[in-house]
Amino acid sequence: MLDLPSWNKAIHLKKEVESTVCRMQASGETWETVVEYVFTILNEIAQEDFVQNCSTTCPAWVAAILKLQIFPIRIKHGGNKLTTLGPGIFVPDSEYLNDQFRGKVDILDFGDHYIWDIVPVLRYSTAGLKYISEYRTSATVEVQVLEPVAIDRNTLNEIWKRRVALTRSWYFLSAI
Amino acid sequence: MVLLICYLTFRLLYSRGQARSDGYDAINHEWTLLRIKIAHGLIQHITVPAFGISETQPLASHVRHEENSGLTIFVAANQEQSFVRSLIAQHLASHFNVQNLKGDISFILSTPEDLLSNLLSFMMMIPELPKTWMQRFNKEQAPSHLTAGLDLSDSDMSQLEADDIMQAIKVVLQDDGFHPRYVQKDDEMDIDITPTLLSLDTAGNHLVT
Repeated sequence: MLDLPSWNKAIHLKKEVESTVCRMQASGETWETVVEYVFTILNEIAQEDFVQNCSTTCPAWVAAILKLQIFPIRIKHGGNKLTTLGPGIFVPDSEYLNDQFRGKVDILDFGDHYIWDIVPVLRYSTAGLKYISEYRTSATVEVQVLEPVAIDRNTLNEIWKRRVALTRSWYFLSAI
Repeated sequence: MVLLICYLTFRLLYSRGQARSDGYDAINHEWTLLRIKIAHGLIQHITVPAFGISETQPLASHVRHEENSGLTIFVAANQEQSFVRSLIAQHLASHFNVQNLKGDISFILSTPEDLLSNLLSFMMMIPELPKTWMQRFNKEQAPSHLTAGLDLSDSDMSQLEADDIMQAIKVVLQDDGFHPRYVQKDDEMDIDITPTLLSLDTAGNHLVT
């Protein structure tokens, strides 16, 4: 009978991620491939019960992974690199402001991957990450309504006529 | 046994909404206060001095919610009507805290009035509202801002200022190639801006309705 050691993510995942990323870089894998691997790992962690249940603490093995030098960032002056998470790194979690911050700060850059899927995992990092969405406040974003302004009576009438239907549509799903 | 029947009756009434009928006032209040306004433009200024960010970009819509004046949705002029409906649906869903119904709201806003009943009952399979609610909805008169002329209810404008604004709307829209419709009411000249804008957006042509 084979005596294979059983694989345990709590024990082995950190080392595996670290060595895999090193090996990929050494073997000249593309940036996109490395980024995809790291994203996949973080996305897997995002499915863990402690994330799904919005636990306030994370297991030690997750905390250890969040301290690895595996996080892809786009450097503000151009180029990208894998680095450890730190207070100078921004998480692009704001559809409104991401573009404005690009080129101004160092930003986590997972390419086309949907970063919102892994934000709950990143929130467990104690490295002091900055979240771009937190900059969307009344102090930073001001909306100016240009005159002239007129009431859209036509649309409002259409909504008024449909208010019963609209109320009915969400009546049973919300606590009005 | 009697207690059990009472309990079940209460549960049934509650689930059907009878016991929630006092919520009618709150929802009706929201509908009455709702305003949709067309602005010549909406501009968003983003300023974060710490990172040298200072940008200005156009917005398609914007909401303001003040405690005593309800929800006001501002929509930038000259947008495709179906897009405007989607924007309004999004803001309504957010305001009424039913974000998952954004698509349904947009669908309802796009459906002709005479087909709404079929849509809700047979396609969306949504139960009827409590009878007391329906009776009260049917008795409600449309709020004055839906039947009056230019809405000035949220401002302290004098009639002179109001005239200036009407003139400004006329000038700006004509500058943009729009042709606002004029409605003669008694001896007054009133601009009814909305139908013209909507026709423009829907057809993509500068039609005057």
